[in-house]
Amino acid sequence: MIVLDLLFYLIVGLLALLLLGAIVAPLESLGWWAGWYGQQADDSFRKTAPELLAGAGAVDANHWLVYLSGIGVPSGDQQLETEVPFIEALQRHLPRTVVTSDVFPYSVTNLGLNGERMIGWFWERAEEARKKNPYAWQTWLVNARNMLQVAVSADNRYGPVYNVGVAREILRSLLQNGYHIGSGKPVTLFGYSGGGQVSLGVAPYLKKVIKAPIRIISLGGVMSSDPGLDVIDALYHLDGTKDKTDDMGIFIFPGRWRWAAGSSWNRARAEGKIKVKVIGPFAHTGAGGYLDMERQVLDGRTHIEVTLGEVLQILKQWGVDQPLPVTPESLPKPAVSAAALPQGAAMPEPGATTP
Amino acid sequence: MFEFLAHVFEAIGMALRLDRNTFDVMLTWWQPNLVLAALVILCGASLLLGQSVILFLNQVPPQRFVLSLFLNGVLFGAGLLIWAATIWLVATLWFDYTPPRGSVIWIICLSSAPYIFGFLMLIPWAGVAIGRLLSAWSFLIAIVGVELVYGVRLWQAVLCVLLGWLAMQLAQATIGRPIVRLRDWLWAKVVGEQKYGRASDILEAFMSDKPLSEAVLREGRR
Repeated sequence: MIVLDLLFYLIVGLLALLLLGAIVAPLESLGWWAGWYGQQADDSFRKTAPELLAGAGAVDANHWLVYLSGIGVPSGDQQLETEVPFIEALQRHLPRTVVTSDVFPYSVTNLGLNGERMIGWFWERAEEARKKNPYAWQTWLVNARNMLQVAVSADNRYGPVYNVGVAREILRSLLQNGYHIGSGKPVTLFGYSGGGQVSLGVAPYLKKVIKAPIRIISLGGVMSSDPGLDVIDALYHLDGTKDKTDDMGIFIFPGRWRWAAGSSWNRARAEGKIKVKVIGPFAHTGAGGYLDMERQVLDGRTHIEVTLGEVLQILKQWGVDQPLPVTPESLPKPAVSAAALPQGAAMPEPGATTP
Repeated sequence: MFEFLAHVFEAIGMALRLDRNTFDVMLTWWQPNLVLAALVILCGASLLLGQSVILFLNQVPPQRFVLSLFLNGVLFGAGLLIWAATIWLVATLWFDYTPPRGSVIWIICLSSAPYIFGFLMLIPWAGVAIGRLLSAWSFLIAIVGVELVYGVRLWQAVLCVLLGWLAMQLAQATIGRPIVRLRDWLWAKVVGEQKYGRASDILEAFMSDKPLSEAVLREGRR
């Protein structure tokens, strides 16, 4: 009986925590817009903006790719172990492209969870716990927190505020990495998981400023019928048969329902802007996920190799780069294997959708 | 004080449960009218908290934010009084019964009880649906209240509440214009200049030819 009572209070406590998190989720971006939280991020940008807008020097590139991580990521400078080899492989195979990955897509000010936040210490510990065991309970809290920010981006009451903040950070990243406004050179936003929605959300603001083609590649992206679809040039959505997370977008956003005539999503689809491709029996993340470096498909290629090949193919199709061929030497090498996991941390089953 | 607050929340609870004994119970309390006034201000403030995006969009500083929550409670109460008056008018013209004085005001004040959860409208994605649910709940309380006080059938109560609401909308657009202007003036005094009516105005302004776009990206906000 006591155990049942404890379980009941635990569930009620968790639900209350989730509710509280959901209520305060939009306050970060709204407070930032209203100027309530001081001007640290704004000031730093204002000081550097004129130099940045003048350009960071000559960079010999034709195309910029901005990588926006999935919801498991704690900050812009700490990609997940599974993502780093993929980002590095993208850069290795794209000779005329600058790949940037320093934007944290789940904060309007690019402030990582372990930055100067009220409970930064908690997120710091959560990140430490995740490094020891990718399936620690704290990881779920990071996922939930970032997922709520995806909901903020997709909510038309808050989205414009949130998205303008993240767009500003993406512009900063582009400029710091040598992009010149007015050059007309294309930009690709690569959104993994929740990064897909953020890519759509920021597109109108970026497009207005850089006045260049903006395309989006979504890797299992959860997306709404965002007005960003009206301004982008193309959206390629890569899907896995075992990935059920991205299907969430189809169910929870009415603008994506087939009978929502005139919605941004359906308009973009009718115009042929949206392409969807199922690339294999991949789960959303973790073992068996898109970026798994060990599991193989029938032809012997690893999951990450298939995903990389598809992305390079899309970029080639769009004519933004001439990707180098993928060879055994150029492929990312596994850094985390079952043997490397701490004792007691079992390798997750295919289909796990943790981060 | 604690007893007073306990009564406020008890009244909210009874209204939410559509308890038909609410009036009888409240009549045994000290100053039930004050309890109702507190209920309305509390619910109005919670409702605005849920809809506070408008205050953030217009960069209302924290002190004014709190003041505007209180003001919204008062304005919300004033709006309810007008709605009560229109329902009373419709009911007087239609039903052959005069209820005890002030009972329609009590019904309408109690019907605002669901808005105690108005702050939940802040929740991204689900907030809008929650808001609609609360409005429907509020209408339901008003209907049950009219049915009870006037002793009429359900459909008559539904029609009476709807007609009262329509009459209020009509009054706002016609003879009530000076009151609406006064409300807007008071609101502007407390909240300040309103640049954006909704978040999508930011996107529209950004996409228009105004030099806003680069300025926002440079400075973060305007």
